[in-house]
Amino acid sequence: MLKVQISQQAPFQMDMEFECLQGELLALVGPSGSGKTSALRAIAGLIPIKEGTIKVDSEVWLDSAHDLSLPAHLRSVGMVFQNFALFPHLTALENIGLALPKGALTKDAHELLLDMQLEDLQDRYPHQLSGGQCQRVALARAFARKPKVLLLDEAFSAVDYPTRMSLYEELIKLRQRISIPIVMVTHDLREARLLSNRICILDQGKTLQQATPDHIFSSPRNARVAALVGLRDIYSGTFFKLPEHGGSPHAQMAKIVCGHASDSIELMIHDKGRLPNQTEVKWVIAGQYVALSNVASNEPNTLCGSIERILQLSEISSVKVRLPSPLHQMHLELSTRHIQELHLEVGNTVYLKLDPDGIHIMPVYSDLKHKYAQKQKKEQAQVIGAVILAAGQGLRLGGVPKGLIEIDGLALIVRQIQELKASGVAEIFVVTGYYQEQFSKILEKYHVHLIHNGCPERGQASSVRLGLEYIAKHSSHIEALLMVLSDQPLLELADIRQLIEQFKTREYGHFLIPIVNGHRGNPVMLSKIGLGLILAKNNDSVVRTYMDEHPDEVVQWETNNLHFTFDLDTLESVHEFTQISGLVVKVPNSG
Amino acid sequence: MDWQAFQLSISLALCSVAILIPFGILLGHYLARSYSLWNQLLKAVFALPLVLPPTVMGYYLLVSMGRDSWLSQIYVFLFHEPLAFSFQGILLGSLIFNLPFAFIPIQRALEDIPEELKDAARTCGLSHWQSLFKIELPLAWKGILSAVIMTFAHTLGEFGVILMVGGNIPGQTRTLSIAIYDKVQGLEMGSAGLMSIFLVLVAFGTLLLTQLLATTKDQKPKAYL
Repeated sequence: MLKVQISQQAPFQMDMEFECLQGELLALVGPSGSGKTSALRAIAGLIPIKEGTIKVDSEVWLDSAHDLSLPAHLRSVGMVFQNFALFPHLTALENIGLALPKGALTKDAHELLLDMQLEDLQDRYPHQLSGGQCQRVALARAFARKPKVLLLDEAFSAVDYPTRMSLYEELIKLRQRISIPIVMVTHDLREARLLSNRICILDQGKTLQQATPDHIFSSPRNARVAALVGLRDIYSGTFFKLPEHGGSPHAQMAKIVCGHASDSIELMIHDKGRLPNQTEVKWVIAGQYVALSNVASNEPNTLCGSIERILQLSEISSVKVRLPSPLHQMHLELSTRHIQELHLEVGNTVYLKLDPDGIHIMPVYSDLKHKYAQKQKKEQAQVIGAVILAAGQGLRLGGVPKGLIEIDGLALIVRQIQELKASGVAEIFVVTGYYQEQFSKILEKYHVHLIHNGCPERGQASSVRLGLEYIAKHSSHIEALLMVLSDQPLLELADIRQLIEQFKTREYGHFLIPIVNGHRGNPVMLSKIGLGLILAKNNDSVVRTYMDEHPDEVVQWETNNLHFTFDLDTLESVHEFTQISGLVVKVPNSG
Repeated sequence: MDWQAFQLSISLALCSVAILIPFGILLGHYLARSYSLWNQLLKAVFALPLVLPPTVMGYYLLVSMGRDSWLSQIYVFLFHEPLAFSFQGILLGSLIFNLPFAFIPIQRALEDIPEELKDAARTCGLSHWQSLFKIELPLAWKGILSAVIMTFAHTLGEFGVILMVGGNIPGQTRTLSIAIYDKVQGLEMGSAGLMSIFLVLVAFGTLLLTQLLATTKDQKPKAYL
């Protein structure tokens, strides 16, 4: 077995770990510059590696910890190069003979030539051979050493298609006879899928995923892998957990919501319990999990679309289906016969049933380096405060303190305080106005700072300003601040955590605002510096006005989560909330 | 025609080739391996004789062969005769002056060998030296032959350095070019002309051969054709 582990920053970055079993063919796949060929050259000992280990069975070829690096000519590898790399001054037989181990006889070289059907060409020089013949000689030369590892560096890319096919056959035959680890570098995904037992995806010198071809193509670890393995249809959505129904944990379902509220599409998937609720995800589905039909269906996970293009490629046809807007399109490869049986033509309406088993979801941030940096940012401790704005008169509800609307017997503002505290918010500041007494009474036991706005008629901006000034004066240790409206009933722990994570992992600016389907959401988050910037401006400046004036300091977080925009502003919205949540909502008496 | 000078010139040229080509191969091989700053520095130092006036070269050589120099003292200690104004002296001068002609064509030819072939040699189990002798040198034959021709021809025609470190001692340091100068001084224009024609033919032949070598179709690796 070949085991490779390389981790170095210079002279070029490599962070790879993969293994290849006896008789197994591992394909290294990745874009140009991903380090595929470097990995191969590192195994062969053709480039120096500062940190890492390379082991073949019990032999150690590289162990940087013990300052051990076997020279290239002592590593028992056979290598086939993209451009054949046959020695031009030697005949085919001499090329093979040169690689024979000490003590081997010329008849061994003859046998290899015979195996490769090159016996008549043994005295020819490379320039007298065709591309396919050259590559056969190169393969025979690679096997001449009786290597412990065979390395193929885009070995089949310089020959035409029919030759490549016959070389594939030669390789498959050789593998049946000689059971050694084979590592192949290729750009050609079909080649990787056809020949390899396992595929290792590399990008920027790093291993992204290593698995069987079927697994990688149906379950890429992240969107980058999906793109690298040529999956054209990568969709975005939000993952939502569904209430448990008490069945087997394997049958636990979840849903992905794609697109905006009005034209969103929901798809049922199996919940493997790996992702938190409301995670932004990318998702893909392998072709074998999509059933195409021209019979109308209302079954779950069925999408209606129209055929935009059919490309007939002999036995297989590529079909492009136009789908509703959040998904846009899907490419399918179907047998031409199947298409003919269904009488499919461009413009036909079709129904695609997506098997929940085949829908593979990937969290958006999956790049390892990015993930690590984000993790560090997420875990960075910050003292976070929250300002709940509860000074309003609630006129649209007939003049009621909206924060005191009872949901299942608990005041909305109390629910918000509980959720905020549970999410790690250190201090909560409630700005009251019209209904100061009611709020004071109910919040007595919740250890919050109560700030009274004596002139609530001056509008919400005055409450915001008052809250910020109070914090600057009395709670200067607060490092980041949430500006919460007291009438957001859906805001819960997960939403607040997600918002705080987004704020912590932002790349720039001092403000973050959730944008839901193009609408500004709440709460807005700002840093201590942001707070200082607002207060340094004139008396009329509050969070919203400052953000409008300085858009480059504002991070807009696009999300589909409606919790950030839903509020109890009118009786209609209260009614809607009652319907959605199924909870008992009691609006206090007006006035 | 001064046959003694002719014989001396041929001996000097053959000795220069015999010593310089193996050294040129080793130096060219070393310098072809990397483009590091150190290697660039070495290339510039070893190529200096190409641009230095022969009299400057001759002056430094003469100084280094002077009676009080360490080189001269070592030589006298070993061989009981002075280095300056001897055949060995002009041979040393010739070696130094011809060094660029010996190593540059070889270095260029070795650099032209595709890296993939060198890698292939190593993955075939050839050590560094085996790869040099079995793969790289056979592929660099044109560069080596070019170095031989250039070194030989250039030694035959060298005048300034030989005159400064060797003077004009018949049978010991008087080469063809010195003999031509000597004959002209003695107004023996016929003899000088004959020897000059010979050197013109050698120079022409050298250029012709190197041109032919440059245009000879090589057996390039298949994929690079």
